[in-house]
Amino acid sequence: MKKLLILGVLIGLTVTSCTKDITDNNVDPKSPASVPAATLFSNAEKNLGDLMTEMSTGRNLLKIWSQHWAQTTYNDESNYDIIGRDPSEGFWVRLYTNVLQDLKSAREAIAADEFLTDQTRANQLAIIDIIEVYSYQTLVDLNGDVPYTEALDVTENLNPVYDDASTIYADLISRISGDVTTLAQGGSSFGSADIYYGGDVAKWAKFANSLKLRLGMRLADVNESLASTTVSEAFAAGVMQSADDSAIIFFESASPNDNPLHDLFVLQNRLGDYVAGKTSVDYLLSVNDPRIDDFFDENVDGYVGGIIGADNSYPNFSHIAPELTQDPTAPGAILEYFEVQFFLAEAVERGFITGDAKMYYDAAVTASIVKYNGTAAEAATYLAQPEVAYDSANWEELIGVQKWVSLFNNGFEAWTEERRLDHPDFLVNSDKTDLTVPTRIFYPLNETALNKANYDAAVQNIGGSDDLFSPIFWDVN
Amino acid sequence: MKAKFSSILTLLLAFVVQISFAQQQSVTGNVSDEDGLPLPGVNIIIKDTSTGVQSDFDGNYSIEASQGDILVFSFIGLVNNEQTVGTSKTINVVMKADAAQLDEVVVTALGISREKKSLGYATQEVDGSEVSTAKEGNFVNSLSGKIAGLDIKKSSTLGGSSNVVIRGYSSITGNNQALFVVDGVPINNNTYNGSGQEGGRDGYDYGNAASDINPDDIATINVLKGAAATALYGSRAANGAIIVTTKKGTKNKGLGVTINTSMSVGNYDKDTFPEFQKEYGQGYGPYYGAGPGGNFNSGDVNQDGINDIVVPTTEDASFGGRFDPTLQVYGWQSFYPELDTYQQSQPWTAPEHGPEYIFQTAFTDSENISVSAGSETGSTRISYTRLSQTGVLPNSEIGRNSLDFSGTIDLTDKFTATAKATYTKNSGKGRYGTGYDAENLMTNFRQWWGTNVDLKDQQDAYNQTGRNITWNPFGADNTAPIFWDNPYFTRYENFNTDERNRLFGYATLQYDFTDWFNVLGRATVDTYSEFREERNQIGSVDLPEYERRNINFTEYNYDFLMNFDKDFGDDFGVTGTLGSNYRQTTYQSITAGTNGGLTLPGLYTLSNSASPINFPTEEDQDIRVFGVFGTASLDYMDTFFVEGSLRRDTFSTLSDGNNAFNYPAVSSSIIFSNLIDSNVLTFGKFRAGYGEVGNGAEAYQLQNTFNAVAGFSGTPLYSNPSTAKNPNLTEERTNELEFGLEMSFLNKRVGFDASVYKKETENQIIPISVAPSTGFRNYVVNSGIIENKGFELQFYGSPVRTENFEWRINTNFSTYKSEVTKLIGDTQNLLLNSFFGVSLNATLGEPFGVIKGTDYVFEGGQRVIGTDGKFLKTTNRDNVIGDINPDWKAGISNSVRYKNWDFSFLIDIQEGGSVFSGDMYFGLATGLYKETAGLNDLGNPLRDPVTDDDATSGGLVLQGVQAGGAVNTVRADASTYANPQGRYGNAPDAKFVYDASYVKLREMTLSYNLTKEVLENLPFTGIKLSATGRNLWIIDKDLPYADPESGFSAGNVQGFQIGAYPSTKEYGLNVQLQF
Repeated sequence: MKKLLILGVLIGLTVTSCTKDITDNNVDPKSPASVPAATLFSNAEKNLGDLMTEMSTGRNLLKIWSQHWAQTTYNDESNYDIIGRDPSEGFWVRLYTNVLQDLKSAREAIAADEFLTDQTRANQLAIIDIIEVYSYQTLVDLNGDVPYTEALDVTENLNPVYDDASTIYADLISRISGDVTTLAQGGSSFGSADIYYGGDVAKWAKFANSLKLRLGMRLADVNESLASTTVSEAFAAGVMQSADDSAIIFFESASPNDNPLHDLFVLQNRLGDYVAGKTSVDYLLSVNDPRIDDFFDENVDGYVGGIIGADNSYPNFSHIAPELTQDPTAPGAILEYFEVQFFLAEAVERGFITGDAKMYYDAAVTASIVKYNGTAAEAATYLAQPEVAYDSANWEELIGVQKWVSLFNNGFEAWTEERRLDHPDFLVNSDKTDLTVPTRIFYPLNETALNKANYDAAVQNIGGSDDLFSPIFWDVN
Repeated sequence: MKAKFSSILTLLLAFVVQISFAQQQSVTGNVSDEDGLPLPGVNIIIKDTSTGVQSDFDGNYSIEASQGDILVFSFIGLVNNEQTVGTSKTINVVMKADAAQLDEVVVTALGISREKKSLGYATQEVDGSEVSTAKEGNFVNSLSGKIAGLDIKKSSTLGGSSNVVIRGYSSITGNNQALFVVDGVPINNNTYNGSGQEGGRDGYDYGNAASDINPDDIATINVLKGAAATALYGSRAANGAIIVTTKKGTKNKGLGVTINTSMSVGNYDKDTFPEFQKEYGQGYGPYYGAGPGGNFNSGDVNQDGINDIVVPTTEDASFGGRFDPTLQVYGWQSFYPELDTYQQSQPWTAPEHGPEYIFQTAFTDSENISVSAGSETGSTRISYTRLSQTGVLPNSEIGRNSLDFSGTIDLTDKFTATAKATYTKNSGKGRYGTGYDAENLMTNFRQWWGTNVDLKDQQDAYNQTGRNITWNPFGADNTAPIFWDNPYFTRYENFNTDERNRLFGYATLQYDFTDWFNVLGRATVDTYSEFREERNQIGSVDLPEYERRNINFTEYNYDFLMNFDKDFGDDFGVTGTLGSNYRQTTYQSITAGTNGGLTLPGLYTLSNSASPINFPTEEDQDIRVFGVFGTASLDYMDTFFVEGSLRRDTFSTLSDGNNAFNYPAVSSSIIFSNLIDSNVLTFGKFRAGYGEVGNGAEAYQLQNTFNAVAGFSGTPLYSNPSTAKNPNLTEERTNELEFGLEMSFLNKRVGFDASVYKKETENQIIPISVAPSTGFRNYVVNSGIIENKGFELQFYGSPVRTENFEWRINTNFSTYKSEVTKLIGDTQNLLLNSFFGVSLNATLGEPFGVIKGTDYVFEGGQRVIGTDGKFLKTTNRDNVIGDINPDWKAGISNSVRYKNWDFSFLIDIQEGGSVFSGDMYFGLATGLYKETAGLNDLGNPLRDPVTDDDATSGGLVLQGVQAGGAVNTVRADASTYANPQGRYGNAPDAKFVYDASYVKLREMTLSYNLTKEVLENLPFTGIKLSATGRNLWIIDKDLPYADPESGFSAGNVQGFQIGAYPSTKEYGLNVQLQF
């Protein structure tokens, strides 16, 4: 019995010592629970830059829908069959989880940082806000109503409600106005951790005003008064003045920081999937555009574009220019100076601001040609052609077409402005379908399953149908 | 050896006795069993003496005995029979079966040995010879079809993993694999294959770690199926347990040596590989503008200034030009200056050597030697095994060396020490690439291939140059691969290697306080380090790369057990155990790879990276569980048994105060045959059991952390992970109720064992998919219930049993019905995996593992066909189009013994279950298979254009109706990759979901034991020769061109085939020597 007693005591001791603090072992020694705000902010910038630059059938496929590029064999997306790879899901995942959620964590880290000066803290939050505004504008421009006020709160709300798209736009304009005010105070921000502007607060202010200009111009047809005030405020506060002010991501030579097109074409070896788009090639040839050799390769006699939506044998058509697809350091654009100049030309025509529309138009086209290794003289020659020369009576078409050409490497904005301006009007129907170019992307497929009630309400609010051809609220013409 | 010695002794004694007691009379007679069959070898001893004889082969005996002597007849498994010698000189005896024969002892949870008859839950045992004769590299594959309720899916890759699930899937995203325990040591059985590989993306199947258990060392395997059986393992036995007991030395048995040598050859099974069409070559359709029908490109390959007809080598489909030996074309052979055929044309013909040319004969050889010895105070066994295997693909091999030691020694008469250690070294080279990837040649051959390519030409080109001279280059002026490499380049240049060194074993000290109470302390360890390397040579279509991964796994268990076993009076007995277990499981891995390509060819080191390497991925997990437990079993009259157990586990991976849980179990059995006097019924038992088991969380699921990302221009980056963690997690729990009935008749000539069970797994820890607008893609929650109801039956019988001839049938049957009865909140569906939009799901109200995708559109039960003659398909993809769970499975084993010959074969059957074939989905679209060519119903070439003229029209009339219900007569064009049979012709996903049923001749063995007469002249005590065959014949299946069992890896993603490997028929020889 004595032995049993000793045993009992021994077991009792073991039990106590083993269960005490057993959970202390559950701290991951390899992953930090808190990190500096700048590391999350930079990561959001990087992810946004990748998204706007890439070509991905499962995400940003808009170089195809803008018809600058054509697919070779696997041409579902050119024929607007996107159910297989669900690019809408790709956009949402990248923007909500890789950009907005990291920015949210960065905000929390800034709040917890006791060593920041008030102005730096305010500037950092304003810059984060600018990227958030840009991201939500992108989401609205793609889908219409999206989760906004209840988004990004996984522990509290697994089913965020969708907010009305025009209400979101109004709030974004209000937010960006506040950011401009903050940044006007000067001071410092993220310093070198900011991979777009190296922490230059003045440049962020210009970017903020240019983004505000873009928000306002998108509303031109649907809410003229808000558009007008927004545009005139932005213009007065100071938009981008030169290509030096453009929001650009300068990619690096090594993966994963190389240009996503280089990653796709060279590292993933998927160059055989794409050739030049016939719509783009034919137009550029028709106006002797000096940028054609910067957009496309000279691998066949002359320039031959693949028919949009058709089966195009890779060797038989012009390829995308190696300068764009095979240079890991080719820069990617977030928002550029030439876009601002196109907006200003249009703003003059619409009476939102006063000025010389032709001057802005010429500056826009010249900036684009210079960007693609052209000279001012070449631009002048180009602009002298009757098909291109500015004519106030025909501003919609001229601005629409030239903007579309200039946005060659920015599929999202090229497609978006084509939807808004309804120019160019020669984006031909697909080879296999009688459908025109889509005017939105339907919601991610898994939203139907995972957030059904809110999804259903959103579909009702955008007009009753979740398809590719319902217009975004600002696309009224 | 011992038996022979004792019979010599007996003879000697008989001789002595004869001299001493001359007044004795000779008693003779015959001994038989209840069926009247003679019993040879029965010991007949005069009670209280050492005088005795044995009955001969005809059951006859003769012994000298005096009147009044009592003769004791004894035979293993039969009741001792005592006869008093009277006046009669003849005593015939009928011996009865002994109920005690049923006192089979089996090893249960925590290594506790129990009499099988006392158990209130289902277990099923197989002998070690079942896995060591017709040997598989992974012993668990040999159990397929032998255990009711055990579902084993063997991947068809060399050394690939096996999915081992008992009584159906119960965890939605967690582990469903059975727990493996060897001599009380839990053995890690992970694959660490990665979720990408398991989901059908690129990778290699490195096999599961339980394959380190050496089949030659296995004595018995006992499968514990339900929660009542495994509850003592508490939080880690929700999926049943496979308890392996290894061979050990026996006390007082002297020296024994066994040598076991096996060799086998394997050939790919032609029924599991496609039949290719031989009429058309490369292309997607007549899109290229040159040559006959516009099926060719134009270019001046031979540099004579005139454009030539050029094969569209960029195309990895076979809807190209019709073969025509008079047509001279320029293909890949003309593009490469190193080749003799450079700039020369070739006739456009079907190749002599198609994709099947890649397969070679696989070889396996295995040698085992074991030595065991026993003295009065201890015993030891040492065993060494070497296994090497080459696969059906070139440059593939795996090997295993294992060294096993076990020993036990009595330190005092009460104090015993036991230890065992097994060291294994497992290595692989050139494992088969899996999934949708350039390294998987089956994806290449089954989905994307040019049927004009002669594989031998590719082999010769590689052998001659060592370069990636591919059939699929961009063109004559850019000969780099566009989608696919030369298959031989893939095998010889882009290969993996791996090695795992492992030690597992235990040390036990046991002290017997009394004959009814002992205490036992046991420390066990299972530790391994594994090193995996993957390579992509410069020149490959994939980015040249070197990736290495180091894995270190260790598990320690410290067990303390107090065992008691006491009878009270004649009728009552109590046995039980009180104990504790402390477990620490650690896992570390580091994965690093080159970035942006390689600088020098063939140099596989991180420093050969073209760009600076990215951060390696590091993992470091430490999980601890502390358990205390007790179990007690009461028996009354050896007839009524009741048992209860309780375990309490405390987890390190759940939050304080919410991390300790109890796991109770109760079971009971009644041997009702003891209550009935029947000549027919030999044994009858009814049992009932209930148990609860659980599962804690994985490490680090409670708090969000950030992932480091490669820095951008000197700025460090961090990112939120895609899965949000949850501090409120609790454990998941399985409860299971089962009933069973065991009966045997006619001295065990016939019998059965049946079980029914219902098990429910609730509060499942699942990283559920969430709307990305929440900021995450997944969120770890407790959610969901899966319910499984099932029935299992084992049946055995001996239709014929004579002295020299016995025919025995063992059958098992199992079926279960699974249902997902609850998911979190309003969730209707959890996505488990998807491939091109075809998904595997846990859907509310459906069985776990339904396949969803686009379905046919039906009208009046008929498939509706569009005006283009192609199927209409649903626009939504959430139609249930398949279910991975089989309707039932069965195994029928027949064994026949004739004298020293044994012959047996096993038929393994699965009825139902679904498999989605990504291979058919693409292979029919790309025009590779024979049904995409040939003649149509009109007798015209199927691929000819559709015309109004029946005399010339090609195309295909699909069975179904037009909208409105009229029978379809519209002929669909089948001349391009947009043909109605495959993915690009609008065919719904449902078309590529096949019934996974099969009937297989799984195993066949023929053995011969050398007779005693022969052995007497040899220095051996036993020689057994066996010829074996495994996976010899798929007698019936529905899935074309593949084995329905083939998958990516063990894990929860089943029911998908993408680049499936053919199965291998194996023929072997086995020699076992004992001396």
